[in-house]
Amino acid sequence: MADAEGITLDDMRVLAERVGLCLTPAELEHLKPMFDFYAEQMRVLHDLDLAAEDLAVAFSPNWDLQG
Amino acid sequence: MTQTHTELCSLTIREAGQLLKRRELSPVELTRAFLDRIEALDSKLQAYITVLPQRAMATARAAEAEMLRGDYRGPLHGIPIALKDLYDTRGIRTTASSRVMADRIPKEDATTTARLEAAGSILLGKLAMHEFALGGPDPTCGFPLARNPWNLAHIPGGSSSGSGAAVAAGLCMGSLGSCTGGSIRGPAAYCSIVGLKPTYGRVSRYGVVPLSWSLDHCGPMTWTVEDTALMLQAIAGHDPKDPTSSRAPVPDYSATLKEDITGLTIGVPRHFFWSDDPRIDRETLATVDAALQVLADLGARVEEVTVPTLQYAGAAQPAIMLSEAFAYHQRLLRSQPEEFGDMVRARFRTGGLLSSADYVQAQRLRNVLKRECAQVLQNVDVIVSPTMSSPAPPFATVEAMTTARRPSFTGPYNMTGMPAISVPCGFTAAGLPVGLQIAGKPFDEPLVLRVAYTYQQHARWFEKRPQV
Repeated sequence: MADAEGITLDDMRVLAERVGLCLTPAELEHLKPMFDFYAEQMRVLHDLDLAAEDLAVAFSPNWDLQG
Repeated sequence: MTQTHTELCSLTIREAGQLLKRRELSPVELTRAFLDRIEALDSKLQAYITVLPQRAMATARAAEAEMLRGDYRGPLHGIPIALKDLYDTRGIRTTASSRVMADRIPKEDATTTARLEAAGSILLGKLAMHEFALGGPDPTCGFPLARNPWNLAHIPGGSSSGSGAAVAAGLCMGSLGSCTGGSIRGPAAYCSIVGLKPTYGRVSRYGVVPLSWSLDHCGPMTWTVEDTALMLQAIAGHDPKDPTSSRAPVPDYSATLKEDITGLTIGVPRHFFWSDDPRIDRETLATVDAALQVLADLGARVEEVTVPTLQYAGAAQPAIMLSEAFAYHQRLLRSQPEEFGDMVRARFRTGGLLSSADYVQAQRLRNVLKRECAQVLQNVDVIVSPTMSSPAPPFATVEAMTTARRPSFTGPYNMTGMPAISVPCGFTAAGLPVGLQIAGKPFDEPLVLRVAYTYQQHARWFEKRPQV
């Protein structure tokens, strides 16, 4: 979906519509640099091998130091 | 006794509380001094969204009557405070600095609001903030942008911008900020005051407009560490209305402040906070190095530690924050997007475009970071670093992605939930404040406060006030 120049506006429109956001071409164009910035950060995260690391969905207030 | 308004507004909570308790100062006189100072200075600082003079004076008169009857509630009784404008206040407009909530009047107090009122504090008003607590002053949000009392051309930090500015300028004695990635410690560092993000679950989030449920924290911002301990005492503790609230016992946060720090071990992750990233200000690092030397001179052992995953926290934290923020705001983003300021609308929309895979990977990384910090904290007592990677920037250089592009030194502890405080540790040559961040084990606020208190008492940066 994203290449060296980042996401295409068409792909971005599909993503936006999927979550109910109907953005104009100008709005998509405006949002693209910000999306590309975060997409690059996400790429770094997905390159990490976290093995079978669990998902911290619920954060325990009684965080266990030994855990 | 006779004190000028400036002198009254420069008292710490502890000092004022002692005068009030001995009936050497009237809460009415104290509140009047703050209201007059707000009247005189807030047009420059724009720290307040709403000032409540009649309500504050009525509360002050009631407090005075109680004290004259011998009904003394404690160290916050008669103390004028103010709240970031996302803490719900029954019958008082609570806007989160957004046109979306411009006319919102809560029917119920936030738990923290109610606890501060029960402690006898006097609410002066509601403070400016970045819209919906997302970093970055946005002139399109429709609300005033608070300014830094040390240099009005610079931002006071955010998102608790008004809290930082008001406490530093003596427009209230203490405030509550909220923090999702550094919104308490950041303005504390930029404004040379103390700001504590307590352990996740330590202070109720009920009645506080959320940004990101799993990262949001509530905490005090004051002039001194001693005052932070007093405010934390009033607001900490289990709240059945907050599903993430902890039942861990609440200790006496003032009891151990004055114990010395000889023999404590301070861990310093230089590989991350002192890295050769050109965005990190070298003057800030030198200032914090000097503070570390002070802690060593006071008997602490300073050693380097490694937390490998710190370098990825800056990518994971926004993925969690923006995804959760979109979930909360999505209906209004669809129905009335024009009501959001430009910066927040764009960043919230971006949160909707991130994938579930992004969110899950970020949460998994969060677990790794939490475990690494826990391992380090088995060998050291606290972890110390600069609070911010650079001093407060001028308004003229801030745009939508300024905070996102800057290395976050505070966000990692929102990910782990550990308590972390910012205490003033000096100034740059340009006269802008620098903060020292001290993080500790979950629920070990007493030790975090003790290290901060010991440093503050020795360094005494609290004696320097901004000339507004």
